[in-house]
Amino acid sequence: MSHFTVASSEAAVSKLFEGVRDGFSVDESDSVNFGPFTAGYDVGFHLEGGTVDLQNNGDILIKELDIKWDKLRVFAGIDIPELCIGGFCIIPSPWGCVLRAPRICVFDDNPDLGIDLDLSGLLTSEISIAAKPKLSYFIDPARPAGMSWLDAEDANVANKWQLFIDPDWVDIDVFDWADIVGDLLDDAINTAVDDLLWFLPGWAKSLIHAILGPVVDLVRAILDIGDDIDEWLSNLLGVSLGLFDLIITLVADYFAGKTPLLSIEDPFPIMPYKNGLIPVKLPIEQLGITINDKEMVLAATLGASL
Amino acid sequence: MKAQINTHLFTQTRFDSGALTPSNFVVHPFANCGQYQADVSRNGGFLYSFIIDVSERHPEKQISLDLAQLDAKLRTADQHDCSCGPDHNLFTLAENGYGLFYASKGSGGYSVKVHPLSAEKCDHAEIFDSTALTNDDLFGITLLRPGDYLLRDAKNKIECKIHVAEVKPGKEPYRPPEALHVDAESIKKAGAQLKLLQAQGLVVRCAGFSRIVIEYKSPTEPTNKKTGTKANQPLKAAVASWKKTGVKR
Amino acid sequence: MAFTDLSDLYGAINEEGINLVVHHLMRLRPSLFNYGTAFIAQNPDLLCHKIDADPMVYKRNNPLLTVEAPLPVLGTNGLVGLNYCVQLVDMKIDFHPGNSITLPPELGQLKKQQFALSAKACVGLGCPDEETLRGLEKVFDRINTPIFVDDYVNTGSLTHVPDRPASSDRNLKPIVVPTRKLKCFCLEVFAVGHIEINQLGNRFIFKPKLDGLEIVDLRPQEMEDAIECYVASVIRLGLLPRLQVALEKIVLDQMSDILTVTLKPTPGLPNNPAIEGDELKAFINMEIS
Repeated sequence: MSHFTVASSEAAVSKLFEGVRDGFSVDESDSVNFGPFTAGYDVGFHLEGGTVDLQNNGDILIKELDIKWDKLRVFAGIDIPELCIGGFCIIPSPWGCVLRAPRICVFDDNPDLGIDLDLSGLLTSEISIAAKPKLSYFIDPARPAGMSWLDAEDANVANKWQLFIDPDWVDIDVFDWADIVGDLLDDAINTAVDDLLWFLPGWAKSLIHAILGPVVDLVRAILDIGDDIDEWLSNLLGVSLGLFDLIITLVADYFAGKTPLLSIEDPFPIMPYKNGLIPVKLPIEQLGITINDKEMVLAATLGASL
Repeated sequence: MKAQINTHLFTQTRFDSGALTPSNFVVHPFANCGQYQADVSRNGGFLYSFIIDVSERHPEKQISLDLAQLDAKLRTADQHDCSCGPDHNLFTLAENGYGLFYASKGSGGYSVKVHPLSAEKCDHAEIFDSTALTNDDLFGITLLRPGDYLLRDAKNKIECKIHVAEVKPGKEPYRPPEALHVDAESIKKAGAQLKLLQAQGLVVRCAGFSRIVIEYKSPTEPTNKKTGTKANQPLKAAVASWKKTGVKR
Repeated sequence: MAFTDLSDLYGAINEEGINLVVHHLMRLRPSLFNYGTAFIAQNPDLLCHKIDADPMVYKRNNPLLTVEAPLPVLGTNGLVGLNYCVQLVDMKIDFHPGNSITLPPELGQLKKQQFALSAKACVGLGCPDEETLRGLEKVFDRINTPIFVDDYVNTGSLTHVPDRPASSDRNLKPIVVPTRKLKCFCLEVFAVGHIEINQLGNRFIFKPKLDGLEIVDLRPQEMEDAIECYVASVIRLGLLPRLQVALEKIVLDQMSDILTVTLKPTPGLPNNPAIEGDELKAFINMEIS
């Protein structure tokens, strides 16, 4: 039979959860070479909101956890086709061209078109999590074997009972790209071309644009964007670049093992050092947790000796 | 790494068959077999030599020799005696094949003279000088900047206006039309001017030409022929003199 | 019915738990429950009751008992003191409804919201043996001048004793009579009390309060009353003030580190904290700060 019982209402668990949630932030970047183009992302986000719903079956449901994108930059490096002049047939014949003019290229190599899209604030995403509470006993790896409980207290390497939210599943809903994303992409493409050709006189830029054709269409074709840019972006980020899977993994790992919902020192201190007198601490031999739809209950059993 | 742009393509305003630049080239047909030495100069100064071996045994019907690129490869060694070595300075060509000389990059100014090394199995030797083109030679150019140019051969007193029309970006990528082929006779007959689109090729058969110089004159044709701009004055004069000397219609 | 139907947070400790807490408290802070002279502190094997202290107490040179001044032998002008010890042992707590401690009739039945406490108060006195006492007698005989009959015959008065020359033996240092063995006895002590919550600034403190104390079977009754008064004073002034614990520590020490909230006792409840069902319970609300 347990000696101590501590119960937290759903609201109190929510408050606990907020502390854990607010400690989570991500700053990641990655890129992949898809052949005709490379694409990547540079993202940073934190979590806000979310409601905690305790379940009778012991689950903790967290809904509507907002991803707040502090930084959402998608970039693509596109090899646009060679821009060359000449190469025309000088002496044609019924059997083909007998003599052909040399091709002189505008660039010494396939030029890269760098497209940079800043999508911060333009994407709405939400995460839902279903988790079970997981209790574990943490022994600090820095604690030497055989160290006494008091020496461990002094060295700040006391053992701990830790309660984690261990996700069974994490869902990410990506929806609602803002309408201006399509325009942003077109602007970004045009800006990229301008960056490439900025030093050329107007007539030369005009000629290159004419040879390339509508650059936006060209780039869209290379990137295989199609009609629905939203779908393309989501697919690029989610599937091709694996960003959403990464987010799910990061969130799951964070809650499951990085930051506990509760951390209880063992032995549990009830009176600190005073005038040289050693602290009074209680050994927690066992800790159990139950969850119902109203509250989370911790039950602790004390040991007879430290 | 960002690709480097070939800026000379966009900055040149004078094109000379005797001083090759990235926009133009010369072609000489090698009708007779033999070994030929090509001496390359730049702005009048000798740079290097290489060998062209013309023979019925060789399959190549065309060799395109980038004088600028060869410059980088061959200039380091003493090339006066042109000892033939592998890889760099020996090119093979079929009998009746074409040697095309051009410069893919840089400010250009290249010229080439070809003379026979040996008359093995040959009846007589070829001589080619890009600064003095002859009958079967060809001169080719691609003009990019829209506007008006003047084509001249000072030695043979041939002049011809060239108008390069601007191309506007459209829904489809622009592909220049087929090259315009002209010769001295057709230029004299045509009278007024050659009309090209930006990036469209121009091939001049050099019979009757010696050294072709094309100069950029103005960005646009004057819209008011009475007033015009100062820059257009020379063009107007050329039109007037042309009409005076042209064939009556 | 959920624990938190009436509050955001709930904490409870049962009897067995509180007795374990007391057990650990006695082993880790033995000086709260054991008192004696410096000589006894240096010779703990003389104690009436062997102190079961945690090894860390010895390792960290913590005192086994609180050192008090020796018991003065009256009439010696503070020159002679005796060693002694007072120990509270076998302490046990019982929450309402009381079912493990049988209270003496003087304390009546355990009332609602009360806890009962039983302990033994063991006292040991370092009484000098006969040989030591005879030696001390001789010293004090020298110190104190006898009263002669001549004084009365010559003066004709029994009320005036002439002054005698001062003795040099009077410049003696006080001594505490060493002892090889204490004379020990134990008294059974019973107490009843309740828990209050007091506010200290922004924090709320659990404070145990004594409602009654009884030492069993001391006679005469007045002596029992006097000793009970003394023991109650010791408990109320010396022991319980050291056992008051901040609210958040009782329930959710760790949570208060994470939460940016203030914890307050839930208002409007008939009893908070509550002692009932063999448990001490606390109902706490969170206030977002």
